[in-house]
Amino acid sequence: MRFSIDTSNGVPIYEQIVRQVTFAVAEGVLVSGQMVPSVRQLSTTLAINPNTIARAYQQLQSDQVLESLRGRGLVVRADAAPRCDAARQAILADRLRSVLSEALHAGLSTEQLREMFEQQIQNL
Amino acid sequence: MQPVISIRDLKKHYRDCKALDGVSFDVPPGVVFALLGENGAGKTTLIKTLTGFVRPDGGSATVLGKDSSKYSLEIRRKIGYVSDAPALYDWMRPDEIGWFTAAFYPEGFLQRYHELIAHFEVPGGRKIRQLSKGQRAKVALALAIAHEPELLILDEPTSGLDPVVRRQFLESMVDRAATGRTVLLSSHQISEVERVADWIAILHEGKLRILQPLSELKESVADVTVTLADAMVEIPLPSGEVLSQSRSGRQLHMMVRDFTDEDAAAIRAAAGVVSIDRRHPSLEDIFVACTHGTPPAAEPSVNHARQVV
Amino acid sequence: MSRSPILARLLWKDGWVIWPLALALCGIAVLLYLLVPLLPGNHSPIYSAWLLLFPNLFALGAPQLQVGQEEESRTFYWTRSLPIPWRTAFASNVLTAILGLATVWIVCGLATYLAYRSGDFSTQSSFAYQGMWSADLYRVITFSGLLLGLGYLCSWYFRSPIVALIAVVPIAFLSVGLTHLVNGWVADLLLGDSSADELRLEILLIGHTNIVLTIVYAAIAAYLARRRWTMPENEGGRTSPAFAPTAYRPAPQLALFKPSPTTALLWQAARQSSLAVLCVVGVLLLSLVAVVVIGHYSLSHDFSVMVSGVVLFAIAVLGTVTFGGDHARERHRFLAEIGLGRWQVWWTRLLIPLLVAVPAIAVFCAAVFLVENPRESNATIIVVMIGLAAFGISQLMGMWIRRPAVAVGLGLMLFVIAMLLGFFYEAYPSFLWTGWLGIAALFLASLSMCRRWMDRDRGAVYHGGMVGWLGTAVVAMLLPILAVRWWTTPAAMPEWRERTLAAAARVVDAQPTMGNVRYINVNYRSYYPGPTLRQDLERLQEAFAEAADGGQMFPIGYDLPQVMDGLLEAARSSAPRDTVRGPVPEVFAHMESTGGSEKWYADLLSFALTSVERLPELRHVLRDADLADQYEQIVVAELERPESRQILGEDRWREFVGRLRTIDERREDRRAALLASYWHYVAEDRNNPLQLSLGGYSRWSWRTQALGWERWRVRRWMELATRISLEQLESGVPRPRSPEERKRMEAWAEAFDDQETVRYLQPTRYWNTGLDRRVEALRELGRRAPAAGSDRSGRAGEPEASANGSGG
Repeated sequence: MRFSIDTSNGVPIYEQIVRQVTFAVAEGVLVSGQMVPSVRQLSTTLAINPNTIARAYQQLQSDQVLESLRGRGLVVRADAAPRCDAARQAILADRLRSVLSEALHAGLSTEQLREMFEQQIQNL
Repeated sequence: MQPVISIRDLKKHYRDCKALDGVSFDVPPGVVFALLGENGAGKTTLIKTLTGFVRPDGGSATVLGKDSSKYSLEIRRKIGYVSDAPALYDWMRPDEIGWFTAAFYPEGFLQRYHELIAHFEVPGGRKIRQLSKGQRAKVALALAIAHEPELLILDEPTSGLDPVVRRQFLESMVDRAATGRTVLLSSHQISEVERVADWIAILHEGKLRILQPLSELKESVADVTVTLADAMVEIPLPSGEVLSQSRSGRQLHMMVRDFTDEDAAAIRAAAGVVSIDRRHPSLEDIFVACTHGTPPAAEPSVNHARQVV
Repeated sequence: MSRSPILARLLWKDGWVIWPLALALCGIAVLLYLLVPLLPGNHSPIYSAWLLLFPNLFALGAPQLQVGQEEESRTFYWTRSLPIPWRTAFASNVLTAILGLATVWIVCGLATYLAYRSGDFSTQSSFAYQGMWSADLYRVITFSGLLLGLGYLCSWYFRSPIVALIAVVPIAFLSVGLTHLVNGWVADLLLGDSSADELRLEILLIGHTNIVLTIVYAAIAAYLARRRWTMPENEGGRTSPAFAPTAYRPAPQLALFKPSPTTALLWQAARQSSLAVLCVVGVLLLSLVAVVVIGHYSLSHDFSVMVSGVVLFAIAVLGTVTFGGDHARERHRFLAEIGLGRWQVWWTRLLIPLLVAVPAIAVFCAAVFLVENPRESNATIIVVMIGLAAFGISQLMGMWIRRPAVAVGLGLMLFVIAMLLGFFYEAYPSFLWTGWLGIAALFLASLSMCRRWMDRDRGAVYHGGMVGWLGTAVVAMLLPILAVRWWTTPAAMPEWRERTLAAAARVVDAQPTMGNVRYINVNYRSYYPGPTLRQDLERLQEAFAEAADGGQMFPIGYDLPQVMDGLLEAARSSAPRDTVRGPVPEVFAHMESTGGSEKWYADLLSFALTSVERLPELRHVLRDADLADQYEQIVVAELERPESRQILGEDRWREFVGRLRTIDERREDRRAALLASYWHYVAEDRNNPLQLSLGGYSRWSWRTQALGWERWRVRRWMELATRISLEQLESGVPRPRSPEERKRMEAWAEAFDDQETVRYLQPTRYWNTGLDRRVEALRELGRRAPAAGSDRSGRAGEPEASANGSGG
């Protein structure tokens, strides 16, 4: 799969990798049982510090998205998909909350927010 | 674990400026250690001290367990060093220079060197002076790492190189770190450093301003913007270290280390504060703050409201 | 923009580049001028240096500094991008160079002229033929102009200044050779006979040809300059782009064995210096051909100097390339960064140039020995040392200075200064070995500085170290000389000096030290009478009469004793007993015709005895006391012969024996002479330390007398020799070839320190001839009865009245 890392958007790099793997599993780009690239491979491909990659993989392992297959590396867990879905939803909810709080800060009322929301849903 | 490089209170001054003014740090093994600083901050002097080209006026430096002034030749043989303007025999071809350099290293050098040259896609049949700048840099890098050194020191290796070559350099650095070897990198390309570095050291006017792992640094420094009712409002100083601050009109901008939530609450609660916004800064912002930002006039010793300059 | 401000600025820029060279050359020329009075006789090498070397060094160096250096440092490409017409740039180069050359010529010419005017006429050899000063000057000046034009040509054609420098040499060589050959032939054609005119015409023609060639070279240089200036070339001068993005093709698999470090370093040094070494080898072969082929036909000093100069230049280039190759573009950093030790790097750089320097020095010897004599003592060693010194200095300069043209130039200048030190060796030939120390110091310098050179440590320590090592080389050469001279100088004897001077003062006050003496010189030698025999003998007879009269002037001749020996033999051998070895017929005939040989015999002996009696009262000078001893020795030897009793007759013989000095008188005369001489020496030394004489023996070797420590040393030795002589005199002069006698003679030899003088004028040398014993033996013989059958009055006639009664 294709990673795209942006060092300047404020999100830590390992966090970006975690999110992108999670989204990929949720969307079905990474299927269960599929191997993810090794730390060394991924770090060389992305030109990212291997410790960062290792930290991301550790996080993914503790989030029960990846598991280690002895002698072969890390694979996507069979039951990872629904978990990733949930995680994605949580991330999206987070994003939504930050947009809403920004709008409220700008002085919009709850009513105006709901109008804006309906309008945007209709446009999509 | 024995640190790969160990520097204690290093001092070096040239005619009228202090290049190094009591710098101390350790570089643990297996990391990519980035040395940042403005031009003239002392990075090259530090690296030259490690390789023994410069004798320090005070303090000591130990590389791979050996003192850098006494054992400088042994150190140079054991490490890989790419200086900022690598001197190559430009009348030789890459194969010839590889064959020549292989004489001074143990077996296996030539094999690995040729693999590297092939991987970097450097044409082996042309004289080095006919190669482009990037290809020359790749030859220098290949020569430095073909003997698999425990420590690789790079002094601004990618300055003036095109993005493709820069990428190849980064991949090499990262690859070495992945195999457990140490890389000491001094660079101006902050975005590159952000990707590959484990540890960051920022030198400013010969002194070490920052020495932290990159992830911790980015998490611990906050980019705080406070909007005020008017320009003369005072706010309480935060408890952490203020790296820089500036005022423009009704906005006060600070870079603060270890900015706690209590500090944020205290500021928000102060009179005349309209809003406070904190963000995670990029490494470049931190760097600029350390080297160019105006630090506060005095140490924030007591946590009470004081005149903010 | 008008032209003149551009030109003015360009002139300023170009002048700035070459004024150090002009200044350095003028400085050395002035230094040489100041040293001329101190240096020994033949100054023709210095004249050659002034008129041949310095202006031509400038002509060689100026174009390289202006054009070659701009090329090396890449500023040429920047200059070219400015709105400057190429003609202006070229004109500015040439104008400043001509100005610089004229300055050097003026300074050197002035130095030559002043030296010549102050009485130094040793300009005969080298190149200035008598009466053809102007023609020769014309020739040499135009030659340096030719070199200048050629220098511009080569520097505009070749990129690197060192290659251009090397290229100038063979072309200049060919130009000169061709010019000489063609013009010799042309002059021969134009004038058949008169050789002086032919020579002058030839020289003038050479001058004209030089001018023509200069114009040709300058025109070609202008064309090349225009081409380089205006042609669209990229940086580096390539016509195709430097790094064409070609498709990558993997290189064929190479043998993967690694070389040993030594092999790798030697390969690298060889490949890197191959171009320069090949050029040098080419120049050497050319020079060898020139020496072998042309040298045997024209043994001209000029030719030998030129070829020697060329070979020395090649050796200098070789030396510079040793470390200069790695110095260019700071390539030595590569070796430093991979942690190579300095010993390995040092000897692998030196090996190949040294190997090439060996045949180079051989060719240098061949060129020098075209006119010098190789069998002269140490000549070969000296020439080898000169070659090695040139190499040693230039290898150090190659390490010190980054720009090769400047390194070669500075090396040559230092070499010239080093040759000045060589004049020391002419004064102290036995110390030639210290030159090896100096040369070793040069190589030790490059080894010692090698680490700092490799690590690019160009601070005060580096430069100070280089200067320090150069100073060490000089000290290594001079210090042993000083040390040995100091060590072998005797200690001061202040009390003895006081006492002796007091005693001497009494002697000097008691009697006049200089009487009325007249020096006579006689050419007669017994082995070769010569055409002036008659005049010589007549002069002698006058001298005898004068001495016998007790006249106003007393005749002294220091070579009279040798003459007297021969004449006595002639006079004596008239006795019929002698058969085979007869006298030279003319001498004998003359003696017979002017009073008879027996009278001559008696007169000769009488004159000798009169001299012995009168000299001490006329002159208290050591040399004259020695003369008196010499006369006495001759007289005693004669009187010991049985024939003398027969020729002179008993009475006369006894009278002569009686006139010989007693032991006390002899000792007193010697002592007075020695003391008075010492007293005058001390007085004279204070007033005129450069010219010294003790007791009439003069010391001419001023080359060392110019140095203060030598004068101090000579004073000590004089004192010691005087003291030893006085002590031996008091205790009785020792037997010949005894250790004491040897000690005394050695002391005098050291005091005079001049092998020439010492060989035939040793002071007090006649003290050991056992005169005392022999005189006593004679007196003893005289007291006994005469041999039977001899005539009491002898053949010489009535004895004459003695001049004075001072005889025992």
